[in-house]
Amino acid sequence: MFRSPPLPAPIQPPAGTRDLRLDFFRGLALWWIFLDHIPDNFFSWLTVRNVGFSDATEIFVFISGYAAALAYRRPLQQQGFGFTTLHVWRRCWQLYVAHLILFLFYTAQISYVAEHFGNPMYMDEMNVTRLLDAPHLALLEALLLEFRPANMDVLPMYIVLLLGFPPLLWLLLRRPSAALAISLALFVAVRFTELNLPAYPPGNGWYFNPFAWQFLFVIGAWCALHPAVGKWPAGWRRAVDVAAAVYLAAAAVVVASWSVPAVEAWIPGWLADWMYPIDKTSLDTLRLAHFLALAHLTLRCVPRDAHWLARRWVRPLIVCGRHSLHVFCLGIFLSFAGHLVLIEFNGSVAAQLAVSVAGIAAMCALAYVLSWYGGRVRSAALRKRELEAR
Amino acid sequence: MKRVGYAARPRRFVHRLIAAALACALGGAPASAAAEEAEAPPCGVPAELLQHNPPLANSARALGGGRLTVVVWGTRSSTDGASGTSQAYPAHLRASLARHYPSADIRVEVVSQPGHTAVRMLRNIGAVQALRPDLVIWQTGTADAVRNASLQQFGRAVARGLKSLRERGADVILMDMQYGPYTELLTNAKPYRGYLWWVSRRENVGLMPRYQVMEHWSEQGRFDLATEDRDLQRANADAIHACLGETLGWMIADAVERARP
Repeated sequence: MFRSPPLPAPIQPPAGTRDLRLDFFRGLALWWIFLDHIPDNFFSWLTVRNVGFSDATEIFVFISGYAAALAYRRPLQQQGFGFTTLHVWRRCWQLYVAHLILFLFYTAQISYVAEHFGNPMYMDEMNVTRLLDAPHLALLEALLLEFRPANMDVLPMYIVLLLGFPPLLWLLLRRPSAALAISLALFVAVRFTELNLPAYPPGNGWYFNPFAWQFLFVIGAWCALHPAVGKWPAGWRRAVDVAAAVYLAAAAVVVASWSVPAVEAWIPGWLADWMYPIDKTSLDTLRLAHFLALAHLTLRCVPRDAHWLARRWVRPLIVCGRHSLHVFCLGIFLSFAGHLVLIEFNGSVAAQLAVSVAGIAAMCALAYVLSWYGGRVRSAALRKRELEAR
Repeated sequence: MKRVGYAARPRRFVHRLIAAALACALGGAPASAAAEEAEAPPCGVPAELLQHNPPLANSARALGGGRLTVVVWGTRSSTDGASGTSQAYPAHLRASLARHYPSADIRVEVVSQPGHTAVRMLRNIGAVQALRPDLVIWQTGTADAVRNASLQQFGRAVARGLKSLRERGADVILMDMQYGPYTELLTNAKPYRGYLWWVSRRENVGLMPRYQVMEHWSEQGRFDLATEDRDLQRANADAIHACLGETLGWMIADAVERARP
């Protein structure tokens, strides 16, 4: 009853080879998210947001869309729509549980801060701790994904995007242009309306508006299903490369002007009038364009079979990228804890380095443990099946 | 160690003494306190932080007529008592202005909307207009940062508010969030601060970069913002608000001075 008619099979890459670039860049995004979430961390200067409009969130959402399309395409083609929907929603449930556990940890951290440093001078700023005054309400809002304290916005958006993914994937496989058009229309609609999901306290919207960010997610999924997308005709290739490079360079100058007053004088007034504010909530077109330009040049410079992806020093990033959910959650927890350490003990650059390195090491350690354990479980299952087959 | 209030005062006193001695030696006439104060901002605030301070034409005109009405339009930190202070910065601003313009009739009113985002503050702009201000100190952004409000909506509200205030003939000085060691842990104020910084340049209105000023004080060890001692917290809050009021007063006097023909 749930089975759909067989779908046309798109061009598929050789089976069995995993695109290491996905893992690598997702791992990199996770490291950057961790570093960026420690305010005033000197080492967050190493991350992409300081050289352009987009940041690790764009990378994360795009790759998530890409990976979701790769993971659920075959089930949809072979097992039908109903099964795949449940399959995707089971994943949503996992993410939801992960978000709630993270929320629990975060609440504990906030309570600690409020207990120890509650300075009446910062009553407005400590407003987040209101949840301690009315826990029953805050808990309800948290379960409804309406209450998301700072830095806890990415997972809920991802959950919502995945919830709507099955019909989208179905359409992407049959009428890719229609799917893209709908997605684009929604993205544009956000610009002219106040369309957003409600947040707590009332009157607010989600920090990452899912109706806007879905566009990047869909672009990711679309790219995964049409690997030829990035390959422009030879005549165009050079022009696109140059346009992307020029845009990235211009964005780098604009971003530099935010911290270097001397550069600020180079930004003409009309340009600033037109550009600002660059909104993250509704995925400003400048951010989207920046990410696409960055992705284009990255794909041009890093072919699928780039040999350095197999090097040993890249391994930690790839392993982190492979266990992105766990590593992401740990990273969010650690960035809060790391910041607390820097405030309480010592905020010197050496301490920042120590916290940054220790955090990344902990993220890698978790990823390696999960990798090792997963491998053992898989090989044990394989051995059991072999024994049973005998 | 207690680091309360005007820790750097003795050195400043020495500077003043030297300045006064020099002035006497060079010009003979004693340098007026106002002129001396116009040179360096109070409380050790680096002058470059207050660099963006366009002339206040309306306020200068009003002072020419012997009166000045300032409205402080802000969130909780603008209210006496509510933020761990006995007197919040508006009271100190009034005192500072009264010192600068002893003969003028100075009124400082407060319109406080604790926990309100810029969008919600805007709905109440009538209450500010009704006081017929010559100058509005608009302190906003805290609630927006706490709630992660959309930067787009924040920007639109600030731009609209500025336009409406200036159309009614008021000067505006914007003021951004407080700095605190733990504030960044709970909120991400940077984008909102960045927008206020930019809009102040574009609209050519003054900006009191409270965040940077307080960060400077904290780095210099003038105030210990991380203390857990309640008494010290209160003493610090009082001293900080006194300094904020003084600094605002200095900014206004400086900008009015430059607006005079």
